[in-house]
This record gives sequence, structure tokens and C-alpha cells, in this order.
Amino acid sequence: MQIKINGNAESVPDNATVQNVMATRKLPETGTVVVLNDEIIRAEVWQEIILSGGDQLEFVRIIGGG
Amino acid sequence: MADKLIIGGREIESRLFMGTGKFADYRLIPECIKAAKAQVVTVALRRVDFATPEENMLKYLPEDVILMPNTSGARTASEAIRIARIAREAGCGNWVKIEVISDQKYLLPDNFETLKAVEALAKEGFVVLPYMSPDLMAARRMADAGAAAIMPLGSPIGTNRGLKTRELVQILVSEIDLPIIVDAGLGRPSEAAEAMEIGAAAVLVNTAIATAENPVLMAEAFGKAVEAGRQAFLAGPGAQRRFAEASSPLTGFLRDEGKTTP
Repeated sequence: MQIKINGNAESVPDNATVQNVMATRKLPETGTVVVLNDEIIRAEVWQEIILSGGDQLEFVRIIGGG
Repeated sequence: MADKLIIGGREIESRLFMGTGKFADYRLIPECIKAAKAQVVTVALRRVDFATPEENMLKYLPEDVILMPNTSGARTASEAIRIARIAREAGCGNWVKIEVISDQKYLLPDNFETLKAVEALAKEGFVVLPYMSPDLMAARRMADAGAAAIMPLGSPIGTNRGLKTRELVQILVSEIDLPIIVDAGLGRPSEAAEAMEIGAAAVLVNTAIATAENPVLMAEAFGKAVEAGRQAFLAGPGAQRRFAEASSPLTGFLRDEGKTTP
């Protein structure tokens, strides 16, 4: 199915979970915030949330800024 | 009466707020925070770059800092509001520096969009500190909308050009009943001291510290300058004059009047 990851259209397996998608990326050890359709998804449920077609998934982190 | 800075109901110990951008190495950040004695520290939010994932910057920040996430990247009020909500949900606390910019040349803030974001986020219980172009009417509206402080720029972000907006900032200091925090463009400790001398409640410095040859030493210098500037403001500087006024009386000189010794 098609979803958006960090703004880019991508294909992921049907019924993929947030955790499944994260496993396919190189993410920093800690500090990644997961946003699914404007909602923060906490780490405890990454394995439980199943994605749907058209979902907008964002991986966000805190960086230096002024 | 103690000289306290209170923002969002919290007593802030240090009038030097520090940015965390542009540091060559994240490890410099905690050293600079310590040297500057900064307490409020800004951070930004960005999407993860899968090609080059970086380490988590947050682990370099001391436990007792007050985080102030900025909404940098936002071009509109609604983008800023979204970033603020994500930052709060991500555990950054409820302070937010509203930064709404669509001018890429000078990075000047959009006061109109910033005001809209102040209105919305203040209603949602954020402690809102808008970064703005020093316009009295805009500042008044932001204050009325619930801003906790007003943050006018000194000069454009990253330019190190100092307090170019001095007179407009002075007007804000005198007319707005909120802390006025000069944010952006202060390039040297003397410029931070100048902002404090005219009555700013605090200053926010990033580039001048992060890009100094010795950022830790520069952070310390800024810390001292902010303290000195605040003390000078409280001490009540003497008047400026057009003509000279001697330091000692013009009588009792060690000479006879009317005759100059050859």
C-alpha cells in the first residue's frame, strides 16, 4: 500500500506496523519522535499500530536551533 | 526588592538564553551552557534524515535547563502551531518560541502569522515567546493575545550585526508590560550588554557563541556581559551631555590665576 514517509510517497507491505517501517530505516538509537497523521505515537505502541493506505508518517527529532 | 525575571510563572535565574544551533560539535553545547550560566535553551525540530541519521542532541543538554523549542521551518501560523504541538507531545515542555519566517534572504519574522500562532497556542496553554520584528502595535497585540514575553530581533539571524533595532526595542521596553527579550543578531558581548542596558529583560544568543573561535570562552563572556548590562540598567546610568563637565572642581588649582608659568 502507498503511504507517505517524511513527505515522500512510498510503498509498504499491507498491514505493516509502525515498528515494521522503522526497522527498514536507519534511525538514531534514541530521540526519534513518530508522528502519524499529526498524532504522536509513543514507543510502547510502535509494534501495535497498523498503518493504512494514505497514512502520513513522519519521523522527527530534536536538533540544535536558535 | 530582588530583581527577578518571571516567565510563565517560573523564576528564571539567567538572563542569557542560549541557542543550540551551528555548534561544530554537540559536546560543546553543555560546556557553553555551563560557562554562560544559561538556563533557557532553544532547540529545533526536524524530520530525520535517513541518509545521515545523527545522534540524539537532547542527551547533551543538562537535566535542569528549560527547553524552548522553536517553530523554525514554519512559514505560516498553522505550520508553527503544528510544530509546537509535536514538540510538547515529544516531551519538550510547554514553552515555545514562535518563529514564522517566509523571507529567506533576511529571515525576518512574519508578525502577522506570528500573532495568529500566539493567539492559538496561548489558548492551548503554551508559554508563548514570539520572535518578532519590533513593531509596537504587533507587540501590543501579541501581549493581549497572551504572549509570556516578546522577543524582538536585534538584527537578522546569524548576521552578528548587533542591536540595529535599538530605538524600536527601547520603545517596546517602555510601552509593553512584558519581558522584552532581544533575540537574533547580537554578535558580541558588548551588544548583549547594550540590550540589557536599555532595559531588555534578557537576550537570546546563538550564532555569536556557536561560531566563535572559542565558543566556551565566548559563552562565558556573554554571561558576564548580560549580568553587567543588567546591573548598569538597575544602577541608573548618568545623563549624556553635549558639552564637557569636569570631574573635579574648577577651583584650587596649583597655579596663580592670570599667569601661565612659561
